Order: sequence, then C-alpha cells, then structure tokens
Amino acid sequence: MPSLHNLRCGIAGLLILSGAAAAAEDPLPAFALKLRTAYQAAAPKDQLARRMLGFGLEAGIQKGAHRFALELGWSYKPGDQYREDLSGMVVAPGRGLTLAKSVDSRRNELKGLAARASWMRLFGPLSVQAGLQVGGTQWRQEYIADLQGTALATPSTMAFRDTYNGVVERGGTTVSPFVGCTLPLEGGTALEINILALRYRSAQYVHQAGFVDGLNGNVSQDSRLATNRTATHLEIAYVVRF
Amino acid sequence: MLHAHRGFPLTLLGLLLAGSPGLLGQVTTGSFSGVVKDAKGNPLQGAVVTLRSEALFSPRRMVTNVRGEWRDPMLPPGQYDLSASAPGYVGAGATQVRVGLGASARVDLVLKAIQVAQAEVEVTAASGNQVDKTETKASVNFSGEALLSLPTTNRSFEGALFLAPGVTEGATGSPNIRGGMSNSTLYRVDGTDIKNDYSGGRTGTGVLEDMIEDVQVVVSPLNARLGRTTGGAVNVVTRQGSNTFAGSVRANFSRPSWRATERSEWSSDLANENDTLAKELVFTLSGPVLRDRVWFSFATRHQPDEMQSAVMSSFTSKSGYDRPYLTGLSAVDALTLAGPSGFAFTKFDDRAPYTRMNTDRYYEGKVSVGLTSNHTVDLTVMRETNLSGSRGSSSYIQRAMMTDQLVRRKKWGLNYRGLLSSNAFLEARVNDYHSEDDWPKFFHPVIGDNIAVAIKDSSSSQREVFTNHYAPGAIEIRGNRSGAVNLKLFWEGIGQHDADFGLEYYTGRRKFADQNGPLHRRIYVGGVYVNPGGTDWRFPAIQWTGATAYKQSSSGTKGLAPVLRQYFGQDGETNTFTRSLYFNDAWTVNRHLNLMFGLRFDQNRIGDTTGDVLATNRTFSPRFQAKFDPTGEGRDVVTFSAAKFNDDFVTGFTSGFVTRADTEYSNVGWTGAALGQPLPGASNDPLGLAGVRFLSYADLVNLENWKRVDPVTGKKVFNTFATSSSRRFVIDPALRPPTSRELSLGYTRQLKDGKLSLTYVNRVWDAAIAVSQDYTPSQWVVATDPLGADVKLAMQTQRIFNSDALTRVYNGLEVDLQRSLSRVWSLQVSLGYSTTKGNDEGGDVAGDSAADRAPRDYFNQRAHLLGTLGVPEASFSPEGYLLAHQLFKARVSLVGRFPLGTKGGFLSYGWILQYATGNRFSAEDSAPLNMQALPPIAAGVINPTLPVTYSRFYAPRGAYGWNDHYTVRFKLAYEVPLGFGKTRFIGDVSVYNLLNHLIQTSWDGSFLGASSGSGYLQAYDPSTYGTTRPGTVDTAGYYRSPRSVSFSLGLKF
Repeated sequence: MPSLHNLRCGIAGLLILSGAAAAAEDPLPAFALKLRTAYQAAAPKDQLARRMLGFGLEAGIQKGAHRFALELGWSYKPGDQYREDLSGMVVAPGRGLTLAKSVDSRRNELKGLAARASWMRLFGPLSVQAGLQVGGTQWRQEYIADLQGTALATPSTMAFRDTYNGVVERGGTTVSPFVGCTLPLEGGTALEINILALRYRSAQYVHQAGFVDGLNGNVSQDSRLATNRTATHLEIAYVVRF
Repeated sequence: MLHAHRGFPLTLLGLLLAGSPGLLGQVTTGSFSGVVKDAKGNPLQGAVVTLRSEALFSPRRMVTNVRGEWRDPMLPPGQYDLSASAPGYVGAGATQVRVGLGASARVDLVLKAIQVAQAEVEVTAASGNQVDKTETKASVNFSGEALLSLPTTNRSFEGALFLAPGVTEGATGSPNIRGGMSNSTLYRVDGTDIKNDYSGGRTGTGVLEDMIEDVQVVVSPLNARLGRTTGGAVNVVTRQGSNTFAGSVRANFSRPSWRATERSEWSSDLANENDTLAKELVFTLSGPVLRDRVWFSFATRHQPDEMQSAVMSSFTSKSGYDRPYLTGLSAVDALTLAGPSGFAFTKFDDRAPYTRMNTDRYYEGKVSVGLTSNHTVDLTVMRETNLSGSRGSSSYIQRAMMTDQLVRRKKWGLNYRGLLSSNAFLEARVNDYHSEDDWPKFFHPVIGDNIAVAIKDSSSSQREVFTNHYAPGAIEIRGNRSGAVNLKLFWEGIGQHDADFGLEYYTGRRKFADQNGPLHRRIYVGGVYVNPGGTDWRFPAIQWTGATAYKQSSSGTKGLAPVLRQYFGQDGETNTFTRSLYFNDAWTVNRHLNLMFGLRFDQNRIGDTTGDVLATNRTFSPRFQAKFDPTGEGRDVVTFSAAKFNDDFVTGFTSGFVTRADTEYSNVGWTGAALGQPLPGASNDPLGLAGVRFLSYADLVNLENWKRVDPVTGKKVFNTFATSSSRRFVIDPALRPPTSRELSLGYTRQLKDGKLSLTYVNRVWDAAIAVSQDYTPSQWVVATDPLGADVKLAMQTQRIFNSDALTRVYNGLEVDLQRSLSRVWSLQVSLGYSTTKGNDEGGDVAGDSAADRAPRDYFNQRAHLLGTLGVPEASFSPEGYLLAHQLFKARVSLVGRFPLGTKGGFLSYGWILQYATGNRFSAEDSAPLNMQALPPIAAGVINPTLPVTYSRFYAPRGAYGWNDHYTVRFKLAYEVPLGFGKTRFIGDVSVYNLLNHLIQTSWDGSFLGASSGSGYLQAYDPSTYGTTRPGTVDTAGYYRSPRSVSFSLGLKF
C-alpha cells in the first residue's frame, strides 16, 4: 500500500495539476508522458547505484514562447546489497568483535512519488527548461546482521552472538532543482535532457555490538545517523506528447 | 485502378496493435467489426462487406445494418483483407488487417459517392485508429510473425508473458500476472489446457514455435467467459492449413560453450559432460486435403538421440557413505569397520563412468473442415514422447540410475464454430490432455523386487541402493478434460448488446505412481558390504534400542541399527472438478459509454483417490466494466472495472492431502529376534561379535527380526517407535478455491502512430487455503499400524480450511506505450510499478504443492505456541515470506523490420532492454519449541516424532531474492526470397544478456534455523562475497542468466 508520504505527495501533485489546468488560458492543457533515466557521474554515496529511473505524467500550458508545466511521477534510485564495514563498530566494554565471523548485510534505496514544476522557453525547434522536483527521495535501508564476538579476557567462555534486523525509512519531501534542454523528435515526441541536483536525506542504522546476546538484540544504544546529500545527475527523458 | 495509401507501415507495431484490444473470451478465435459510412459521415445501410483471408475456406460476406455496422466475432486468427461496396458508391477496403486470438480488430470505411469520387477503390492498410470501447478484458496479443523478430525467451508462452504489462517475475523467475500466484496462470493451446496442474507453469513442449499463429496474454479475465484463475492466462492458437501448400524446415542450434560461464549449472554428476552441439530440426507442412473444404497442418521436431558421458554421484565422506555408521562403542565400531570376512565395504559406483541417453519425439497437427461456409470444425492433436536413461557397464548395484524413464504426453481437441444467423454465433469445444511418467523401475536380479533398501546420508536425504522405488506398473498420470459451449447473440435495446451465454466443465486428474514397491516397505541400513564378484551382500546391524542410542539419529532412522519404514494405504487417482455457467453482456449504450455486466457461476469439487468427495462449493463471480469516451471519437477512453475472479482446485494442491500410499508410515527398529541377536556391545555374544550381525538380504527382510516381546501382554509385536507426524488431514467440507477482487482505473489514448495506456490495478485475494498443524488434543487421532493390529499409533492431523488471516494484495501502475517510429522501426515500452504484499505466498514457488499454498508455518503449532507456551502474537509476522514482491519492471523493445525483395522477405533487428528491481529480503527465524506441555497420549500408543523448533518472521519484510538487474537481448531474424516460387531462406541469431550482466542471487538473506533451535544469519562465503567466486560446488545458485547465443536456419516454402 502507498505510504502516507506518497499519498500526500500524490494528492498534492494532483491538486497542482488540476490547478494548472484550471488557471490556464487554454482550458485544455497538453499532456505528455515522460520515461526517464539518469546517471550520476560522481561516485555515489550511501551505497546507492549511479542510475536512477522514473516516469511522469505532465500537464502543460503554452503562453507564447513560454510553457509552464506540472508533472506527477515516480522516481527510483536503487542500491545493491552490500556488507557494512564493521571495523569501527562500537562494542560493549570488555568484549571484542570477531570480524571474520560477523556480517551486517544491507541495501539502500531512494524512491517515491515526485512532483515537478517547470518553465520552458522555446528557441525555434529547441527549448530550454528549468524547474524544481519535490519528493521522489524517500529513503529506505534494509539491514540484517549476525555478529559474533568474544570477551577479551576469556574468549572461550564469554563469546557472544548478537543479531539484529529491520528497516529504516525516512520521508523524502526534499526539493531538487534541475535545468536542461529539450530536442524535438518526430511524431510528437522529444528528448529532454536535464542536470538534476538530487537532494536527499539518508539514514543509517548504527548498532552497538555485544550489549545484548541473542536474536534481534537491538539495544537502546542503537541509533539512526541522518545525513543530507546532494547528488548531481545527468537525466534523459523520452517524451511522448498527446 | 487500385490506389493504396497507408496510414503507417505494417511493422511489428501494426501486428501488435491490430490484435491488441480484446473483445471476447475466446481461446481459439478473434473478432472483426467496423462501420461503413458515406463521405458526410452518415452510416450506410445495406453495404456489402467482404472478408478474404487464407484462414477462411471462402470469402465471408456481411451486410451492414441501419447504423452501417458489420461484425464477425468468430474468425480464425490471421491476416485479412476487407472490402465494402454499395450501389452508387465507389468501393473501399483495407488490407493486411491482423485478427488476433481472442482480440477484436476494427476498421471503419468511408464510401464516396460515384459522382464526387474519382473512379478508384481506396484501400488502406489497417491500423487501430480508435480505442476499442467494446473491449471486455485486459490483454495483449503477439502474432507468431511478430514474435519471430523479438528476442524473447522463446516464441510462445513465456516470450509473450515476458513482454506483457502487469507481469512480474516470482522468486524463481516464474511469471506472476498482476500479483497472481504462479500456479494460477492458465496455459492453453487451441483450447486445450496444458498448465502443469501440479506445480504451475506448463507441461511439456505444448506447441512448436513455427506452428504458432497467435499468442494472447490475458492479464485481467474480466469477461465472464474467462474463469478458473485469479491471475491470468496465456492462450496460443496454432496455424491452420489453407488452399495452398506451405511449409518450413528449421534447424535450431545451441552449445554449452557458447554460453558465458554460469556456475550454478556446475554439477558433480555432469562434470565430464561433453560440449555437445544441441541440434533440433523442426518441420512444418500445411495445405489442402480437399480444396475449399478440408485443410491440414502438421509439424514435427527431430532431436538426434543424445549420448553423454557422465560419472556417478560421489559417495564421499561428506555424505557418510565411505564407512558404516559409527556407534561410539569401540568393540562394535572395530567390527563394522573391518566388515565380515570375504566382504568389503562398498561405496557402490562411486564416480563410475556411465552414459546418459535421451530420445525425444514430437508431433502435432490440425485438420480444419469447412462443413459449410458458415460452419467449421478443427481437430487438433499432439503427441510427445521422451525416453531418458543411463547405460553403463560398471554398475552392478546402483541400478536405479541405469534404468529408463519414459514420458508420454498427448492431447487432442475438437473445436466447432458456426454462424447461426447474422446475430447468432455458436462455438463449442472438447479438449483432452494426458501426460504419463513411467518412472525407472529397478528389480535387482538377486535381491528381488519387493522391498526397497536405502542408505540415509548425514543430511537425512537417502541414497537408494537395492531399490525398486516404483512398483511394476506404477505410472504417474496427470491430465485434464474440458469442454465448453458458448452462444453469442447481438441484439438491440437502448444501444447494442453483445451477449455471451455458456457453460464449461473442467476435470483435472492425477494418479500417483505407487512407490516403495508392492509391499510399500523400505529399509534403511547403515552400510553395505559386497563380495569380490559383486554377487552377494551383507548389511551391518545392531539392535535398535532408542532414537538417539549409539548415535542413531534423533528421528531414529539413521544409524547402524536398521529401520523398516512401512507405508500405509494404496495410491489411486485424484480428481478436481469445475462446472461453470456464465452470462456476459457488452453493452454499447451510445458512442460515449460502454458497459459490461457479467456473472459467472462455478462449482468446484475435490475427489479423493478413494473415490470420496472431500469438498464441494459454489461461487458466483460478478464482473463489471464501464468505458467512457468524452468525445465519442475513440481517441480518449477512461475505463473502470470491478470484478471477482475464482480460482479452481488444482491437483497440485489437492495431492497434498488426498489419500496416498507414501504419506503415512510407521518406523520399526531392528531387533534381530529371529537371530537371537544380543544388545549392542554385548560381551557375552555367542558369536563374539559384540552384538553386531552382518545380515544377508534374507535376514534383513525377515519380519520376525523386527519384533520384540511386549512386557505387558507377553505377545510378540513389532518394535514400532514412531509414526509419520504430518499426513492425516481433516478437510473443511466447505473448502473453496481462493478468489480475488480486482478494481482498475485506466486511461487509453490513441496516438497518431500508436497507443498509450495508463492503468492502475488493485487486487485483493480472499479465502486463502490454510494448513494448520498443531498439537492441541483435538488434533490427535489413534491409528492402527498396518504391520500389526496390536500396535496403536498416535497420528497428528492437519486441518485444511480457508482463512482470511492470510492476505495478498497487489497494487500496480501499468504504463504501456506502443509506437511506430518509422516505416520500419517500432517501439514498445512496458513499465510497471507494483507491490505484492501480504503473508500468502502459497503457490509462488515452482514445485510447490498442496500445503505450500499456505504461507510457510503460519498456522503450524500456532495454537500451542499462543496458548500453551504464551508466545506473543507479535512474533508472527503479518507479512511473511512473500515471494512475488517486486516494485518496478520495465521492458523496452525496439524492432526494425526491413523488407527484402517483393515476395515477403525481411530482415529484422530486435532489441529488448529489461530492468527489474530485486526482491526485499526477509528475516526468518527458528525459535525453540517447548513441547513439554503436550497433552498426554494413552499408554501403549506410539508417539510421532515431535518438532523442536518453529519458524517465525519478523515484520514488515518480504523475502529477499536478488538485486536489481537488467539484461539486453538482441535478435537478428531474416527471410530471404530465393527467387523460385515462395521459397525463402530463413533463420535468426539470438543473443541473450548481451552485456552478460549476471543476476546475483544467494545473498545473506535470512536467519536459517539451526538444528539446535537457534537461528543465525546464513551468510554466504564472506571471504569472496561479491567477487566472481571460483568455480566450486558452493557457488551453485549464486549467479544466474549468463550471456548465451543460439541460432537457427532453414527454408520456408
């Protein structure tokens, strides 16, 4: 089921779309479907992939050489599963982590409904555009871990095993600017190219090992570390106007 | 003069679009309709419309009604030419109109008055220029011609499923249609159901690709004609003959070394496999038997008999076969390690070379008879046999691998379609599918054929040695028979009505092969010794004194003491029945509004192997759809639908709880009573063997050696120590198949050169079938041991019932774009954003049956855990092991089809980019299960083996399958005219996963329960995690789907 955040974004987007249609001089706005892919040139952080995917439905109005458009769509930036570096993990006093026998497996992603508002200026067959994207950056981290350790004093008798798992989610109502140009193709289609500065907030689950033995031993010392990020993407969209 | 102009060329898109909108629920025919108007837009009544096609015995002529309409709702799929004429008007027409299977094509024509028109007939290449508002299901069609250019998995069922919107991959790669279970997808060829009713997917070859005329994927069976699924269906119709002879010869080639390395295919048994070139020759021929009256089509496949070198599986120390089981008693172990005089411990045919062989034969055909111009009959037949086995000279004991397995499959179907009047159409069919597996039967020349003897290895699997695993005559049979009659009527009444009335029946059958020999008996031993000539054997034995005594396994069946397992009952045939009635009305209210009302009634029944009826139920499934076209021009259409779908009982589901010979058993421990065998380690053993005996086969199977004296009664009774604990079922007599409710909201826009669809779908499943295995007093029964009436066995029952506590919800946004980019290039984009959530994963895993329809462990021991043990409800995840959870799927296909010459030749390039998100991972845990609070069982009654752990899932997770993945596929296909007659040189080169982007599976995914009752994370090889991993056996299943290449070439004439 859609999350509350996604529902809010969706409703807001629909209101914006309908508002744009009502406010337009031309009572019949033109619609377009945009199929998107994007690539992050710089090395991505937070174990996310370089690629981003999405699609959106745009409603736009034309005023002379200017076009104003609102779009509601969905955006997705995946990440592959990875092993968290445990070498710096905080361990309970008197205990040590056996790295060779410990694993903390995670996967992160950004996704969610995304609304866009854009302005476009026509220059002959070409056009340039700029705008803002709201949303599409809901953070999700899945983690599952199994740590083994020893007591530093008596390794053979004080071994501990500490497992935990869960999901960290964080709403993604961030605002990301973009600017680019559009190249028309045949048959009412176009290629839209943007530079998108994707802004998001990551949240890492931080565990402290060895405080509780046994299954799902999340402890009160555990926390979530949030960080603000900006990731610049080259974005290409195939646009079908109808 | 004939003047032709084309809206856009007949590219792949044209083939797709023409058949795309579905009207009816047919599984063998399609529909064609249109309107004839004058230049002012007024309908022309009385215009004569003529359809011509190689698929028709004679041209079909129809007269337009008062609104200028004409229709034929029951045409064989194919290419059609259309012409219309009326007095005072210049004729008009269309060519190359594709009528797809179960789909509706529509062409509207305008006739110009003679005085205002030039003296020419206007002919257009047809394409959909309007959204079909009479469509009553969501479906997509692919012609056999279109699939030829697409680099899909194949050119039949899976290839079409792969491209259809709303279809995602389950955990094993099996398709889920709009969140439906994999084993709920129907597969049909010419109306015959070839679905694997046991484990989902399809059975056998089904159809040869060069014989396919059309494939249809139904993602929403809205029309009430469509039933027996809560997911969807794939229908194939084969080519029929015509008045001209045609045919093809195609050779398909592939080779293991043309494939990039895939370690998951590494197998010890095939380590010496040759890099054999796989060859397949497919031959088709069609033509007239009697011109304009009887046609035929025929196809066969020839695969050269395969002979491959291989080696026997290893009896390694890892499996525990390199020595007898040890007891910890030094005297005993020293004796068994030394073995009996003149005999040596054998590892059987460890690593022995042998030859694997495979022979395959396949034939299919169709005879079409035009009874009159309006009545036709098709007879379709198929027969497939496969003989596989092994040959070797060094194998003298493990004969099970040296025997043959014969698989036979055959089907037939009789389809009738007739035009009763201009407004009444009748369609009827009877279909039968039969599959039998004649399993390998091993009768050792010395040992005989009564009792199976096996060794259990350290991981509790068993290695059959002196085995007659299947009794003589034991053939496993699967199949079905179905029939349907449909009457279609068109009538007027506040608009136009297109109504279907019909009835159907379907019977699925499954007969189990009687296993474990005629006596239903199997003996587990702790090792085997053989004499130098390989003609005699000895088996080590100590008395069975307890499940864990002398390192016997906790279940008691594995160790040095032999154990006899006696199975209950006989096998038989089980049946599932579905009887259906339906009514469906597609109502065109006006040019803005189309409504559809349907109601389907299904009666489902399960027949036990004993002939008893286990459950019967009746279900009504209402269907509704509304289509609104604001302009009435068919350019923009908004669709809303609400429907209920009903599954049927599949034999794979019922086979889990019907009466079977191998589902209940008792275990008896060895006593050696007839031999006077003393206790293990006995120092006073008269033979000086410390309680050990080396048994001959006659001693081993002598039932007197499995008895003891009852201390209470003084009678000799079998030394029974445990029973099967899971196979006595209590079926809710009102049990019914699961249902699903679907709501959808869609928008379709007809583009100038294509079509765009956006659809939101919500499906909710109800009445999931649950299996409850618990330890409450009400779930115990006492049974009599088949070996002796004086032994009472406590049997645990399982309840089979419907439960709404098991949930499954699908939400999907589907985007489908089809565009013609130019005269040769076409594009299709299929995007899906969907989630499948809930705790009902049953039926998603290939090979699942019966109890697997219920979520794993959801109800098992639940009452005991919650009540007696006080386990909190929170330990049970509301979202369990859900396998189909996939968020995003994209398919982009780009096809260029370039004409070669003027005789229909072409060269095509097909590209497909596929992207899909991986599944989420799960956290499954096994927790200790305290069984101390068990209710007391009466004295003298033998207990079953009790579980020590139970599984629970942590919320809110689904099952993690793999990471996001993409593949690029490419195919070059061609048909080159050779200049004489219609003969063309044909072929293709296909590359799967061009970039060799491997799908990485087997990640750290779940807390797998350890036998101790504590579950810890199953981490996959941390030292080489994420690397290419060297090719060791541990890499099996780690990666999948590497790049592979295949090609074909041949002649078409």
